[in-house]
Amino acid sequence: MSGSVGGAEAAEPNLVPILDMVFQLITFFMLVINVKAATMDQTLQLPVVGSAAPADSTGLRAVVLNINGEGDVNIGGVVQTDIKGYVSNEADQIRLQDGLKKGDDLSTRTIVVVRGDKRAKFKSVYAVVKACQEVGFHRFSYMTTFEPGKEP
Amino acid sequence: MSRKKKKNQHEEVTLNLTAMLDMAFQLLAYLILTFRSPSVEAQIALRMPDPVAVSDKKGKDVGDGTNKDPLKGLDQLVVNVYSDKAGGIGQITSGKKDKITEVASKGTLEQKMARLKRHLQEILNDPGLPFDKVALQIEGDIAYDDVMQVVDVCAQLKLHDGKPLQNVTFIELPSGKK
Repeated sequence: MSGSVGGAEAAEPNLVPILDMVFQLITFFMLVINVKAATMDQTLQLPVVGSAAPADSTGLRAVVLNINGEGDVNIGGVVQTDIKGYVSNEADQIRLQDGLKKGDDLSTRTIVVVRGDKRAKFKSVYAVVKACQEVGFHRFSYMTTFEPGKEP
Repeated sequence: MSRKKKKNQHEEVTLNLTAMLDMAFQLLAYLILTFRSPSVEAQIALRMPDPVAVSDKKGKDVGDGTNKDPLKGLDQLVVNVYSDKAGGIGQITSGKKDKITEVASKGTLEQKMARLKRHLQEILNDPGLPFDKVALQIEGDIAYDDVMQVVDVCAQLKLHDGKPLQNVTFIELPSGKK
């Protein structure tokens, strides 16, 4: 028994509108994608503070340090055990790029963004802050979240 | 004069969009799967010079004795924050050496913060006092969340000339010698 092939026309859907729509969606996602978010540990529970201002570090180079509840420092997804060495290297690189001398204050163009988990002990956070201060960072931004219902 | 138009016979070019659509869908799927809505984050920005401890747990002076400037440190209002057994904020005092004042030791965290704010603002409102900096000496066992409530209080303070208090620094409270 053999099937007969009738004179059916091949269906050719018009793919142009769907391609157009997909490209628009891709454009949307590429515009809203937050490249900075890669440096932020989204698992942290930040402290809730009433009078904090919306985060803004425009024009400043940011050194983002994530400190989890156990006090481990996570930078760009990697746990740093030698935080003093890390911030010292960062400071040296920034000084090299900006033509600054060793010992110069780095506050003019660099801000240290401290994203500490609210369950962390103060001594863990302070050890990181102190390491930063020792190499010349004196401008800090402590990330928090808004109180529920007080978001801008 | 009539010109005889010659009709060119050209083949219709058909672009195969399937491959492009396939790639676009893959790219779209990747972007959708990796997309995270931006979380609402706020900040407390502080300019923090190198802190120097002025007293230990018992209020005893821990300076190195090399300071010959009689005015050094006089513009710095010291707040000591001690932990309770649960790792929260227990007692809060202000001042150093023999002029330590208890600010708050009982009540909820909100009540302690309200008392601290009132106390510090009263001091900073007095134009006869030289303070324009607040140094927080905090015990290391206190949870970071509670510490940020103290920093938040300090960030809301105003100096007697109406300007916001900008110089806030903190340091881990040195352990008292037993």
